[in-house]
Amino acid sequence: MRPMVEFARASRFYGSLMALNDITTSLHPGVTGLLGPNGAGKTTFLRLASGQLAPSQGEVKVLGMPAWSNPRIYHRLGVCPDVDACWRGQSGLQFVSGLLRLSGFARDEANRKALRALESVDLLDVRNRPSATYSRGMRQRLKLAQAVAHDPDVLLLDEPLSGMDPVNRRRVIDLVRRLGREGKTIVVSSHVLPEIEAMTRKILLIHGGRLLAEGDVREIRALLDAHPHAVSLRSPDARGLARAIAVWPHVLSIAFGAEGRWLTVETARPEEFYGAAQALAERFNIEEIFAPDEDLASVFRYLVRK
Amino acid sequence: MIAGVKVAAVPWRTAARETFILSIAPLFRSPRYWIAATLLLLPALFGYERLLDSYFSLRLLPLAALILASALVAEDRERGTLVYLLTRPIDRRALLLGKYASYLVFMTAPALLAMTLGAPRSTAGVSAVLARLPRDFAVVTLALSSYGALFVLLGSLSKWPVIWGLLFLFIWEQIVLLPGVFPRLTIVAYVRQLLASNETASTTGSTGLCVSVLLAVSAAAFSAAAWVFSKREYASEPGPE
Repeated sequence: MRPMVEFARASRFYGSLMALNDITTSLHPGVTGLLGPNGAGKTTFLRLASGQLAPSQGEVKVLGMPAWSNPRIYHRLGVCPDVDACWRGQSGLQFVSGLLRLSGFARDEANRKALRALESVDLLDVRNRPSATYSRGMRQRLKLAQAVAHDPDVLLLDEPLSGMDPVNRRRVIDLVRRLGREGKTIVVSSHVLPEIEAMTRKILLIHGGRLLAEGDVREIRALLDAHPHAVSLRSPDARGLARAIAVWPHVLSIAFGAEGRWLTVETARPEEFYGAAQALAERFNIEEIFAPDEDLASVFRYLVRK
Repeated sequence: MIAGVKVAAVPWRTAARETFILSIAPLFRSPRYWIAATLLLLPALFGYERLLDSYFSLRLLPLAALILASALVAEDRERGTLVYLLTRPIDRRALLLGKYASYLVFMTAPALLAMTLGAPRSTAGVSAVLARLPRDFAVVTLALSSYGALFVLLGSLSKWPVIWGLLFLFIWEQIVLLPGVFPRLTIVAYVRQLLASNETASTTGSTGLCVSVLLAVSAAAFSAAAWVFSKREYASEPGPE
């Protein structure tokens, strides 16, 4: 079967900086996690695959066609970019349906598809609110809605869970998994291993612009488990949350951050930690949860040495 | 190519129209638009003749064009919304055409309003002004079109289109004051000649030449801008990964 996304010895330079170095890989239907620390080349990888950048060397194809600046691929390709941006003066519904009309759908069909996409990310109730008034997590989901609205075969999602509260994080993970089961080819980037693990077992490990490994996430799991994992949480009751978390056996340390609303927890078992934190989300009104990037960077340095 | 439903880009007309529609709300929310519209509206206070004079002697119209046209791409790029447009199944040139059309429509509207409001204060009388207004409005539209296309080109080429635009307006366009063939190298000379031809009844030939030159400048500058826009990467800096 021909791959849906194909990199053939693709490299990308920014001036003298090599952002991506000689990448060869083929992606097929299902969810593929693109895992790497800050500056690894994940966004460059996705920008090449989405035709926003031309490869400096090699070839990048989507659906069997060259990706760079090729409008024909976008009927069947959805992109959720890393930038947190929407147009001023538009509601969520206008944003999604306007982009659908730009994709060639008639007004009624665009509205119908936009409503369905907004429902899939739980934004239906706020569809008529100006998108500028949305929280960061809501804007993240709005970006995801515009990416899935035209029912594409290939989805490229750049850190889609960033800034989301635990409940919506779960919802988006479920959506990505469902779309993967339906036969879509999905590439989702993250620097948080448990996020990727929750969506797929198939990963591409990327670091310093190089593809370190690709395959089953369980193969590197043992290596990664040797390193403690840091998780930051934001809650109006950070002290109460800290008291509840401190008793968990896999928590190694807890530190308070800015304005007393942030906690950074070091844990030996991130997967268990994320599951347990989700159970506390409502009680302590956890607004945001993320893994500081330096943590994964140190793990990758460790992997590269090995 | 892997088999699928649609493979062709959305037709140009549809793409340009939908880009135009999608541009309207952000345009009205943009401070740039209101600054540009104010530059076109304010001179109406001083009467019809001084309005036209201030548009071109004080460079108010080209300045308004510069403020808005140079940002047609740059604003989306700075805000991060350009990626949504560039990842649609549309030809990039059609996208730019839709944006340019929104600039032209929403700049000619305040110009027409200003000319209408300035008419009662005309020294020549309202009826005389109303008689020449359609032709003057056509000239103003041509000027907005030429300057706009040029500044869209600067916006596509450079990160500092406003600086290049100001240099063009206040240095290059000054050669209109020089004798000989030099004025023919400016846009403002043709616009002024067209506006003056109302009063001096200049020959149809010279009016035709002026119109042709302004149309040619618009077409050439916009085509060049569209070509640059279709070839250029707009996500060229390493992103936050």
